[in-house]
Amino acid sequence: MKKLVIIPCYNEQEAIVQTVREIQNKAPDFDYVVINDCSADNTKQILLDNHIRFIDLPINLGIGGAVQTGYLYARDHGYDAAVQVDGDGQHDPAFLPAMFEEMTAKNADMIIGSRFIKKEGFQSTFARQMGIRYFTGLIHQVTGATITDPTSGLRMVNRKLISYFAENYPKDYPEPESTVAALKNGCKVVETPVIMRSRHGGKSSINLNRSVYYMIKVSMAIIVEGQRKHAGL
Amino acid sequence: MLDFRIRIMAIAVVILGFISLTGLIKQKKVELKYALVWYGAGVVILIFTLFPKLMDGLSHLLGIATPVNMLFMLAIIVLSAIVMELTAVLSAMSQRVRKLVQEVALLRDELQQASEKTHE
Repeated sequence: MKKLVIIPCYNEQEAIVQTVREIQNKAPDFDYVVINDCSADNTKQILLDNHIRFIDLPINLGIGGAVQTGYLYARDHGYDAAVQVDGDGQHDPAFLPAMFEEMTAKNADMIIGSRFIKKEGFQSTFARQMGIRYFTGLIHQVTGATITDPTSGLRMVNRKLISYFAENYPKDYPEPESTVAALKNGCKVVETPVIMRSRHGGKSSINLNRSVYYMIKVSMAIIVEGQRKHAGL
Repeated sequence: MLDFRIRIMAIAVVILGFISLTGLIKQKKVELKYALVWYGAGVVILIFTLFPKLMDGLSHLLGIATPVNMLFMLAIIVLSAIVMELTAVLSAMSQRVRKLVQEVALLRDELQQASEKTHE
């Protein structure tokens, strides 16, 4: 089974090498590719100096475009599974082999690493948690499924969804919307408890103004995605 | 005060507008991101048609004689702001396209050089 770790990376010069090394150590039978989203800092040089496998986007596309590039790469290279691991070190690659086993065993199309099933590890701020609970409820309304951590970037998909996401992936705040798309297409989405950490270094790209825009935009995106015609996969 | 017929028409137009805008977004012909401001404008119009006293109050506040004039002024300001935003978005997009073209051209050259080397 060919498995790929997609590591979207924007200005993560402090964390990226550590993130990649951890993946190589804890998930040795996974291939990896860093998607450098036109970082403005020293990320590219660091990637070159450390001989890290990466795709260099000539223009910044944002998380959606970067991860989608990873899915395109996964599809074109015939991978059976692809998992997203953030470049900032929040995701612990120790969970990857078990996630693959569980996805295969349950015959699922997507498995999401959720912080909120066992509530261990970094739980994010209270405000964020309320926001996430709200999205859990909204997604339940739209799809009938209960996804406890719809914004989690730690998600693994199979070939079917690799192909689908390679062609259809939202531009910003892609996780909730893409989960709804998968569910609406009849895919089986499961969750597994994981432990996340706070970032190793660098800055998060979310703030208060963005948060309001984010809540409105993602809510509408989920509702509209729920109403689109889905051919099923 | 708004005539009853105008209010009904306005509500109908806004609702039709919402339906067709949502249809375009569903077909992925319009990005939700850029459509948000149009939804916002529609909501504001609905508020004014449902609470016409608000229009009177606002035009008094702004020192405008007729509420209808105020509506036109607001509409022009909002539309101008939307056009400005679109102009900015377009400009940014054209810069990105330029960068893309240059990148592709330079890549082609690298590929050409590399394939010439292997044929030596």
